[in-house]
Amino acid sequence: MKGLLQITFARGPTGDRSTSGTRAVAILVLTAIQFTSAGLAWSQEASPPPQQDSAKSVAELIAQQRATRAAMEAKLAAAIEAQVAALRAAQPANVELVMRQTLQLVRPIFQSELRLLSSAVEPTSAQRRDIALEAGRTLKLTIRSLAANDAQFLNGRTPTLIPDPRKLVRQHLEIAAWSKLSNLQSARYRNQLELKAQERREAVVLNIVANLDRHLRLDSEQREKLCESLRSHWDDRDFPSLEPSVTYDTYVPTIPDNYILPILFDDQTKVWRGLRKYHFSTVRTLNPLNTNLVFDVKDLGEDDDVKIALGEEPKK
Amino acid sequence: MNSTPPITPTVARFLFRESGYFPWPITWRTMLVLAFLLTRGGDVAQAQLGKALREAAVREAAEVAGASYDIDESMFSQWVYGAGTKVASVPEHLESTLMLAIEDIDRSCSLSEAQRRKLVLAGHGDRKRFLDRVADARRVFERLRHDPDGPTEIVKYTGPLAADYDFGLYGEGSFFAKTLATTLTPEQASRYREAQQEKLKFRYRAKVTLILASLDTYVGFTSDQSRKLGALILEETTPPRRVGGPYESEVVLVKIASLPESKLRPILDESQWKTLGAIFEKFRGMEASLRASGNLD
Repeated sequence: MKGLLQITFARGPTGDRSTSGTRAVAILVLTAIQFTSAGLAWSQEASPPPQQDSAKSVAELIAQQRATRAAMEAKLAAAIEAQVAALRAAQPANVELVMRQTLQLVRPIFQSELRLLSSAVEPTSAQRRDIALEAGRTLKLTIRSLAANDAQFLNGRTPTLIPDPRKLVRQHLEIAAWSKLSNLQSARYRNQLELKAQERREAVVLNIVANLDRHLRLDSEQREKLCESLRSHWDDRDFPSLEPSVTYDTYVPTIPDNYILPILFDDQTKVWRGLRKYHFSTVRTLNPLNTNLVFDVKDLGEDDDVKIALGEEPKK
Repeated sequence: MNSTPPITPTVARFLFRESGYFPWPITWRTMLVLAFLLTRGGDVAQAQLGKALREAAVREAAEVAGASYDIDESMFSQWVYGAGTKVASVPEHLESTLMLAIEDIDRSCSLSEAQRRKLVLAGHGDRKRFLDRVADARRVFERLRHDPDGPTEIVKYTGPLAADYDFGLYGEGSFFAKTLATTLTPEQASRYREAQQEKLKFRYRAKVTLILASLDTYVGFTSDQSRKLGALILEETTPPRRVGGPYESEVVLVKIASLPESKLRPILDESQWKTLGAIFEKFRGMEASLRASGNLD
């Protein structure tokens, strides 16, 4: 390529505008070939030896250029292939990392949910371990799939929403327990889960109202009415879940006006309309106590069934 | 032809930005610039080009970190009033919250017209004081908005203003609160205290319920255990004096952790107690600092 440039400019710079313009166009074409394909270093490597013969036919020149270009494009294609292969090789590592981190975060939830199941239905130790193992196996598969989505996100693709981790663990335990418990045990477990769900909703409702009270100065009757309105209109899509309620406890969630306005006085309505409101449905947090304190699962006394189910050998 | 054409820092910076990492991917704009360089000088020494690019990158990084730093003017309003709030609507919001505060008192104490007027006057005093503080903070913002270390200092001014704006200007230490304390008759004051105490209890109950539900993530209470624990905590502890502080959750947790083992343990099984004990241990360690900062009575 260097040679081609020398041929083109064998007469040297004249400084005259028309010559410069022609030269610029020629250079543009040549550099386009040179740089779009594979870069300066490659172009030098692939360049033909300098041609001094100015009488060389245009056809030969074009053929030469095409050949050079083809060689460069082949190198470019190989480089792209290599890069894609490298990305593919890197992705499983991302998946493993995201999976490990996610699994670590859901361990305490898995343990507390397993405890709840144990307290509610008092399974035999064999039943408990079987349920834990089966739930752990399917949970890990699901987390791997979620981790793959996260890894895709790391690679610049659109992530899918990660579901409520507690709900996820509970679903897996419930499915695993289904075939391993008696009908009576299953009914007791389901009843307990329903009571726990109500309890969590109640915690969120009370906190929404307590927070609104600071902004709207509700009286005691209004507080009770508002609690009742939120309970009766409860919809997981409209209300925050427990974890964001702890983390963002001073934020006002978006609540449909018709749930709240009939309860408010005019002065309160005016302030309600001016409040900043936030939608929490996409917030994911796994810091249940909203503090800087970190609880190691080992300090919290992880039991052997959890260790086996989630892939860690119990202490001998 | 032997002399290497000059690559100015500007051109080199442009090339560096365009290519991201040299030598490719290179955009059409970069190719135009390269073509231009070659027409002016022909044979460009790659080594010098590379060196110029590296130097340009360093200079650019220095520029990004230094002289070019600028916080957009609109950020000040966002920090104080929140995103999406129009500054023009601020006085109206402050007036609405003042009227709401007065109506709230009126609902529990039935204020006279004279009392109401005094409270309005005091509230306007608080509003003026708040807007003066906003003006001071803006001056700090203007002084530091080009300084990379500025945000830390600016937030010291805007943070408390945002909290006051969100939760009203008429709390403890305000002209409004002082006027209220001297304006109400003893009977009105008693009714007002009662209403405030009810609010406090409601909030504490909400917080305790929330903290228990959060602890449940680690411990796995049955609904019966949660109910018994909630009743025990509300019976044995008192609400914190300061409501809605930044460490409200920690304060409630320290209060729960200070309950005697003899009362808590019978409600839980062995493994639950072990988990809860490990959590409480960490929160007990926070007690002294929470007391020292005035967050815990």
